[in-house]
Amino acid sequence: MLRVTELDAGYGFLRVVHGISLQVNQGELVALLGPNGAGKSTTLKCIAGLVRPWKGDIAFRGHSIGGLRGDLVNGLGIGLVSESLNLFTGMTVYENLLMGAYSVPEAEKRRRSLDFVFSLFPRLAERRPQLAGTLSGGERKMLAIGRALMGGPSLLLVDEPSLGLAPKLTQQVFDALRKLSDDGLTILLVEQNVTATLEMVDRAYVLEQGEIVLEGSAQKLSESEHVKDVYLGVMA
Amino acid sequence: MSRGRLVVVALAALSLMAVSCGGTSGTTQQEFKLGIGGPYTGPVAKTGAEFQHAATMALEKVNYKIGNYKITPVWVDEASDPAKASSALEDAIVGKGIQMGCLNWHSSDAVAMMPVAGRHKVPYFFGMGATGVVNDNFNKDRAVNGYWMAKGWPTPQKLATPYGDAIQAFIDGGSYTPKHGKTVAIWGEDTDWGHSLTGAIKDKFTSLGWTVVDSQFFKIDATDHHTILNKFKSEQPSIIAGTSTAPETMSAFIKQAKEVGLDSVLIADGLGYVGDFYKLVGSASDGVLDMQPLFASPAAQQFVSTYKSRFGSEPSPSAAGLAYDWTGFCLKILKRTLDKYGSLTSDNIYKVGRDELWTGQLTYTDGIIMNEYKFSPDSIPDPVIGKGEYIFPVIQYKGGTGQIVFPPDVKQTNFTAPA
Amino acid sequence: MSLAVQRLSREFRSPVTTGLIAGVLALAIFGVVRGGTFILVDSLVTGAIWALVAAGLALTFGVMGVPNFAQGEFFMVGTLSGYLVYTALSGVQGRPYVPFVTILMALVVGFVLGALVDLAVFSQMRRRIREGWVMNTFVVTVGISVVMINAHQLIWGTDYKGIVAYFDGPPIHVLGVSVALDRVFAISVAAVSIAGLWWLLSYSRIGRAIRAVSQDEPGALMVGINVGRMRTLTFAISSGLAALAGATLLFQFPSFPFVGVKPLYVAWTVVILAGLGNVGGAVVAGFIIALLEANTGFFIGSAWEDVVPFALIVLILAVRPTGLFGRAVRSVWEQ
Repeated sequence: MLRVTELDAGYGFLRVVHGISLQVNQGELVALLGPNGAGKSTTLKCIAGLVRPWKGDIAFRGHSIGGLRGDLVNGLGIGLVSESLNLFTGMTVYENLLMGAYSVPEAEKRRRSLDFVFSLFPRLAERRPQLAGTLSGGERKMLAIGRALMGGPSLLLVDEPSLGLAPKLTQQVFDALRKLSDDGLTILLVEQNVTATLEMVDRAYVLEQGEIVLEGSAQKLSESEHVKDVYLGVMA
Repeated sequence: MSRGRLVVVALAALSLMAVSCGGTSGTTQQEFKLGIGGPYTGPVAKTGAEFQHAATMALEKVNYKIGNYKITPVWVDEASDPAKASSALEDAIVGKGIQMGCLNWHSSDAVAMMPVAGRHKVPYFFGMGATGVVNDNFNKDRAVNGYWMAKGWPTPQKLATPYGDAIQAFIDGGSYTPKHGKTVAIWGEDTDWGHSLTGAIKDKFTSLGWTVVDSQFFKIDATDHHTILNKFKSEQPSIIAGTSTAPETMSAFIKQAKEVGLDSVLIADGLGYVGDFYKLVGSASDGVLDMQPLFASPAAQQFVSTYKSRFGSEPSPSAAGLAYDWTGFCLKILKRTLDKYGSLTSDNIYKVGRDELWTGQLTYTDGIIMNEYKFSPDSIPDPVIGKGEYIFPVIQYKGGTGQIVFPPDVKQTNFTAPA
Repeated sequence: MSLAVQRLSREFRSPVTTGLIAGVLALAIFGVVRGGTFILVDSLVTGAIWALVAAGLALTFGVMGVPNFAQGEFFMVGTLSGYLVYTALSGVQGRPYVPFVTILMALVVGFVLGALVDLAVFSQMRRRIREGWVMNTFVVTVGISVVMINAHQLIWGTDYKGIVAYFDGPPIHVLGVSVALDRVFAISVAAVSIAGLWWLLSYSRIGRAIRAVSQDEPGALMVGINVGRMRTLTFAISSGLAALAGATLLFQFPSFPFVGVKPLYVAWTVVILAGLGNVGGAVVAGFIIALLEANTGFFIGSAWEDVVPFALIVLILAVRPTGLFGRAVRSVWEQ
């Protein structure tokens, strides 16, 4: 469904991503793991059209989308939950969700998406008239995911869902993502929390200093010496 | 041909060209640059445009020629800003080489321009900046400021007295009874002009036994006068008298005076500056008193129709009319200088001004607004004021045209008090 | 509605705001008791118009980060197109619909011109400029203003192109104050336009998208909003509102090249007082400035009308740099 080939990207003179290639198949839940500054978020932003790739190709359902403007990428069915969430803090929870369905013309479809999001995160339904800027960290994260789902994406990109959340809340969010995946949504996830992530995903890539150093099934990676040493070592 | 010879031949050719050029210029006209001041840009650029149009018509009348001289106008833009005015004059003298200046509009600009003219010893005539400051500077340092030779507009104090006299005459003649006793309220733009003109009106009314109930001044670009007018309404003066030089300000004031329902006699000095004020003010201007020179004579009527067909707008007597006459007078001074001295230099022009204009020998009677433009040792830098000379009659508007109601010997109609 | 209530309740938590609002009310009451009801009536009429001009200015800054010093010239465009349309309709003048046609045409002209200016200037700048956006666009808007003033002078000259009145009839009386029909017209137009703008921004899909761009630009891209188009639309709306105000006030502001200077000056006073980029605040501050002007004019003297609001602004900014209803002073572009 998504194929990234030899992608180079960066900011100004600084190259952050060095020729990485990855693939996400229909229905998969794939993680992009790695330490801080490895280029994970930049990769996601390139796919979502928020950062212009320098080189390489990004293909979605066989069509090249590299360099396409963010709003057009969204229109093709790719939803993004960014690291900083980018919520509309001056709008209510309800308005934020409505904005998520900005490109959905059918009112009926919007209503069904809203029902779905509220069933996934009942907390949001309670907070419906509240300003997004006044929500707690966990609620914000739910709102960002909910907003991305409102557009009815076929591919969801999620950047660091565990960032800044207590373990219990992280688990709630991960459960929700797992549930979405089980329902058939294709998800590409960026995470630093390797243990919890590998327990949940189908497949993963490990990105270090802008290059992919490892890839494979979750099980294969959990057993990899490198992953054990670098990421799970502390916990073991 | 050696290199040396080549140089010699080239030099010879060049010198021949130079001689032939010199020869031609000897037989054609000499150029004389005449600076013509005015607010060509800025808030009253409309007045500047009238200056430019009228001066152009005056120059065309003499075919841009005085004897052997071709007269080239240099437009000195005072831009309603003293700093810009003085540097524009400096540039016209030093950069463009004008040897004489003519016309100006604002008093504040005149004060800034005076020392520039004096420093370069370039005589400047008939600036319309009228306030007493100009006279004070002229008298204080005549060696320098005397190059600001003569004003095109007398100090308002001298001009504004007829309002009080006129109202007194209406009362005496039985055509007017003050509704709320002898009470007057003063209004005006917050400028030199506004304060000195209304000051003169106030003094005159006070000396005639009137009480001034209020004085209000506003910024020159103010178009919302409801507060002042409602205050006046509560104070119930019989007359409200004042001035503004900005058309949008003036027209707003008059319309809003009608809107709030004032029953006072309205004196709006300067309404006639706006050539086509009726389009802005409409019937709210009916009954308003003003002092305006009028386009009365056949020659003046002719000027108006030519002006309208050429420039597509209505000239006002006080801007276009006076600018036309004063430019004509400037050209007459040039003619006289040429006749007397044989050449047009700043020095010669200054001498004619000093010896013949200031003494009243040289006057101008070909104007379209006043009968005679004249100066005297007692009057300078102001023109001589009086019947047959420089005088503004008091007029009352109806349907957009003014008719003289004072002084009695020239009046065209009787004063009508507001209902 | 609940949104407005939430915002208001947040505002009132600030003692500065509460104190100021109490002060304004006191000023209004003082003005009415010592001066007369006209102070209140005149402030409402004038305030509505200032609010209309300032709302556009605040919107442009909030959504685009452009401090628009050409807003006055869009007001000028409004007076000019109003004049041209109204005189072109001279055959049917006196019909009550003519003024409405006139101001609607001015709105359209301002809107289209604003869109063109954004496409020709700001869209291009957005592609090239990454740093110093506010300063650069400030300089550019000053340039646009000079160009527009000179274009007016070149093409239509320096004449005062004005009208006597849109509506001829005698003034009506409100609380003992006589108010000309044209001013009733002006306050109605202002009220309808502000209500329309408020509805648009609060409840319409496009309005929400405009707010989304102002609150979080990447977020707006992420939900599929064409950010560039929203900015063009914002500038067009803001220019259209200024032109609408100009045409509506043609009876008080005859068109000439510099007619926009005063409205621009007041609008900036209002916007700085309210807090840059705050549209709702600008509407409230428009009335505050008008009330201050009227009181100053009555009790101190008209020549001080601009001085007192400015002194107040200095005072407020010293205590509260983000303005009365301030959010942080920042543009969307440079967060």
